[in-house]
Amino acid sequence: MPDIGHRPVVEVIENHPRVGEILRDHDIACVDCTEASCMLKDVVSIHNLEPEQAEELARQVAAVLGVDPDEVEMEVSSGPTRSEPSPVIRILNDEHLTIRRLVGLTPAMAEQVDPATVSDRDLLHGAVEFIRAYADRYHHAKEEEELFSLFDQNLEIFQVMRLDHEMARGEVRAIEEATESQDRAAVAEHLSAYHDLLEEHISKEDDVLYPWIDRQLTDHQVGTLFARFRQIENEMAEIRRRSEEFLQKVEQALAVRDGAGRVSGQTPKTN
Amino acid sequence: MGTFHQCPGSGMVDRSDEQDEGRSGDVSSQLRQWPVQMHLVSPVAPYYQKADVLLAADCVAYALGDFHAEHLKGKALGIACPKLDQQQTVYLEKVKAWVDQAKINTLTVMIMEVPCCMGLLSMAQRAVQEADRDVPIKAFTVSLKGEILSEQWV
Repeated sequence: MPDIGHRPVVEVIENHPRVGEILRDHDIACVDCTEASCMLKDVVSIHNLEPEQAEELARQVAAVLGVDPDEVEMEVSSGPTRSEPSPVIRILNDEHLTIRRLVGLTPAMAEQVDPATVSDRDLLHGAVEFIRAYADRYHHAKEEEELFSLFDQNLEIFQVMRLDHEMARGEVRAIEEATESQDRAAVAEHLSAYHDLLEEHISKEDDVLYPWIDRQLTDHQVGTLFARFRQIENEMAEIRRRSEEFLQKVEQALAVRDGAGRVSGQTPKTN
Repeated sequence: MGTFHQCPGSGMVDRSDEQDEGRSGDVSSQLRQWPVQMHLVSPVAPYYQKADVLLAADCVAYALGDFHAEHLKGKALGIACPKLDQQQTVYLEKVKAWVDQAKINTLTVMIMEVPCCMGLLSMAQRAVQEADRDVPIKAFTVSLKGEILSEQWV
């Protein structure tokens, strides 16, 4: 079977489900990834397997495919293995935690928030503004415009991530439209879709993409990116301040609703 | 190979019975400046401006066989001994000047595994904390046998 390493991993798994199980045994969850467009040969380098583990994986996959292990080409990661992420990746990981605070609130929002009320529409507009300001401008100014731009944008992994970003923007537009039209079911539906998309997307970046990127970055690039990230933080300090303030406000509001069913001290107004 | 007898920093180790031909042929120097000793360097010298700077403990270059090619290449250098050097507050001020005045890009600190060498990394971290700017610090620890024991951003 020629060029097995250059076939999309999803295609290989589809034709040989046992390969998916083998990958899962090596803590590689391609079988759960809805958009995996990586080639089989990339799986080893992206997941930073040790050469011995890569060899064992190739042997197991070859046995399933009925080919010689040498025909299962696997690219072993280049660059040193580092136990701790670089400072620039740490900054992006920390920002994901902030974004995840909002994502973690979306199930409660979907359940409790009614866009027929002015206060809840304000809350939903606030959530949309948080995502556009903090995730899309503040975080992506660093991630997409600075970090990703150092790499070949034709690589599948970046195309998948940018597609995720576009899909997330689409869900945010849908939440905004449903809020305007006071369609509670549509608001809940798109909050839920946004939640699921972001949870998977952030996991992919934190667990797979960022560690892979970190292994490619030179120390000089880390220093240059770090300085640029600090510059962006200074330029957009107000976004960071307002986003943190909004998160605290929503966390408190939803916590109170858990007990009382409505934001404390507010009388719902229906327009 | 012998073992530590007293202070790990000065205890005797004898590996003279270990044979290794090593690399043959010319190995070019990657040093692009002078001076290098921390008391002698000017922290605002042209070669430090916006540079990736390596602050190495004196013993590191002797312990590591590939110091020039793998670690010094592309970097500006400062060397010091945190155990024996006098007036090390001067070093603190010079590292701060690297960060704030020379606006260095990164600071890499290479130390030996002996406990007294940690002082060099601690001094560098303190200097960066006290500086107005912030730069990434990477730390390497080198074994007495010349191996890299750890490499990490701190």
